[in-house]
Amino acid sequence: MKTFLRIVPLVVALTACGGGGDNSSSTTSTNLNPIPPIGNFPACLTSALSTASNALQDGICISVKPPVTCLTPKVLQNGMCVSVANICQTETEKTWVRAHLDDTYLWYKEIKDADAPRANYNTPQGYFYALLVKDKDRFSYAVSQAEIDAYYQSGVEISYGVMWVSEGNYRRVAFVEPNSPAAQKGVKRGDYIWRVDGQNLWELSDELYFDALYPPYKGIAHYFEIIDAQSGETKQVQLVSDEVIDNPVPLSTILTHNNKKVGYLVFNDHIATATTPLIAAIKQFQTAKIDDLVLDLRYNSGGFLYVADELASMLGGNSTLDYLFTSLEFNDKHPEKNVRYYFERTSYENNTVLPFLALKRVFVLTSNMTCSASEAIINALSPFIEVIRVGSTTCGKPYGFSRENNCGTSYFAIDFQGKNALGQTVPTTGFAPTCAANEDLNNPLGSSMESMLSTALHYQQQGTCPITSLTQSAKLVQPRTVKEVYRAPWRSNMLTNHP
Amino acid sequence: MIKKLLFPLWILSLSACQSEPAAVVVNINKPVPALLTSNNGEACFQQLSLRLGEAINHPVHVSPTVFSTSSTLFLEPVVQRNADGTRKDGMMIDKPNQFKLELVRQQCLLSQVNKQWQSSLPLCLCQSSY
Repeated sequence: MKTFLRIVPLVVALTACGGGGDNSSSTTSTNLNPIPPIGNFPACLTSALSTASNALQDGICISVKPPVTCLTPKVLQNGMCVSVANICQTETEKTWVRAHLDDTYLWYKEIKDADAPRANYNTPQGYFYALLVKDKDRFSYAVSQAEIDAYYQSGVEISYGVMWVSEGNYRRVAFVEPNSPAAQKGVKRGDYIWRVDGQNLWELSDELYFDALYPPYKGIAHYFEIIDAQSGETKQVQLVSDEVIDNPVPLSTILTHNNKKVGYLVFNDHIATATTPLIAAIKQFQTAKIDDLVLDLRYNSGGFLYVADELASMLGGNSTLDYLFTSLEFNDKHPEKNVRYYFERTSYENNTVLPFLALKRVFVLTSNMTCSASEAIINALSPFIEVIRVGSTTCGKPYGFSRENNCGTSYFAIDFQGKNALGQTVPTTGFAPTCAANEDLNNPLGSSMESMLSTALHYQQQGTCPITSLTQSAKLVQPRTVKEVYRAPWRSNMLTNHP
Repeated sequence: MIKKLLFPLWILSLSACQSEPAAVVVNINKPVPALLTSNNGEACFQQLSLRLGEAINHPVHVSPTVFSTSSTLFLEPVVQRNADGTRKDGMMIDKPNQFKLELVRQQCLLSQVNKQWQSSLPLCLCQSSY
């Protein structure tokens, strides 16, 4: 027994050393010559530390590995488990898609594989869309990496310089960038577009329609038949796409209404170049000592969250300073990514002190194009100051994506959602308006005759919606407790960067 | 004759030295915010795009008006839009790439803010933005 106890550790140590090596030894040989055990001594011992078992072959103990199976998202390649990332074969790409969603997707637990049998999909992109949780997710998407790899000077887009909105079978011009190709051809707000290259808009295929209205490259030309909303005259113009420098803050003015000064600010895009004109506009309102502010976000579908944070900070002023602006929550596999944004006192761009307005309330003009970072402004301010929404229901997109590239495709799966200081998120159905009002393309932006602005001004004066407007929706409640949403002095905004 | 010609120059140089107030002495080694001059050609913009692309490891497009009114430049990913004109992306939590243009010893210097990266632009002409 003593001898046995001495020999066993030695044998174990020796066999354990045989565990490495080439995977060609991973199959069990059937041509073994069994050597009878000597006394109680087993023929071959297996180390408890090794995944391999051992067998006798030609009188020698050899390591016998079990057949290798790799855990997703890895596959067996040359006997080794390797990541499926950028192994560009359809089945492997589908494996990557499934694993990626399982890891990062906000609703990964609700993916129903039974509804999306992978064999039914010939492309990884098709499989990606099939796996999305349809009743919650209208936004995740996949595009060619080559299409979106370029970076542009902030504000520069390839376009005609027109913002279109739908009206029945027509498109109407909502906004024209000054000095853009459209402006140079006399296209103006309110114009109807009904034919492109001789074809009715509603008869165009989706692809042609999109290509005509949103040209992907510089120099693309199309003929548009346009009806002037005022005169009813029809004219044909050729628009050629070009690099257009968008002005994200095209209008800021002060209206006098009912002997009150009302600031009116049009904010169209949360891009980096918005910060400077936003600060200038707020300074203008501060100097004029405005009584109320109407923030027009009807065409603002989002962008950088830090821009939203800075604008909201200027509007909330001391009422919100250092309180929670929004918390971003990832799925429960990645709590380390969760991040909190607080209302700020300085600008990111050059660390300048933000001007504060001491507003008790703010009017926000909204539409179904009011999305994402714009909705974050409404949601973040609502616990602290009264936010009166005028227009139509917002798009309901309190989400963000982290881009992941694989085999030439960029996948954007929703991976976080934002919540305000009360833990409330933007409803996925969007924010209903306090006072409903329709888009009015027959009047210029900033005119007190324009229906959305006039509805806001009516409420500003009367404290109620106009009779023509729909019923008021419930206001968000004030915070019950503020301690947990207040930034500790040592805390700063931890901003994560996702490639 | 030569003396007559040189004398006024000598006086001028003396007076120039005396009248130079200390406050306007420019330290040419100190970078100052700069703009691209209006006479820069295609070669300058190509070099600028190339250098920016190297800095962020992506193709870069800038407009001909870049650095014409501001010494700061922001680069953002290309905006993808839906058929209704809204952005495809959601709340963006990263920050735009920020660059600044400076003038150092009569040379244009391009630097990435909050990063170590910088590059000269020998094919471009710059002027102080002050």
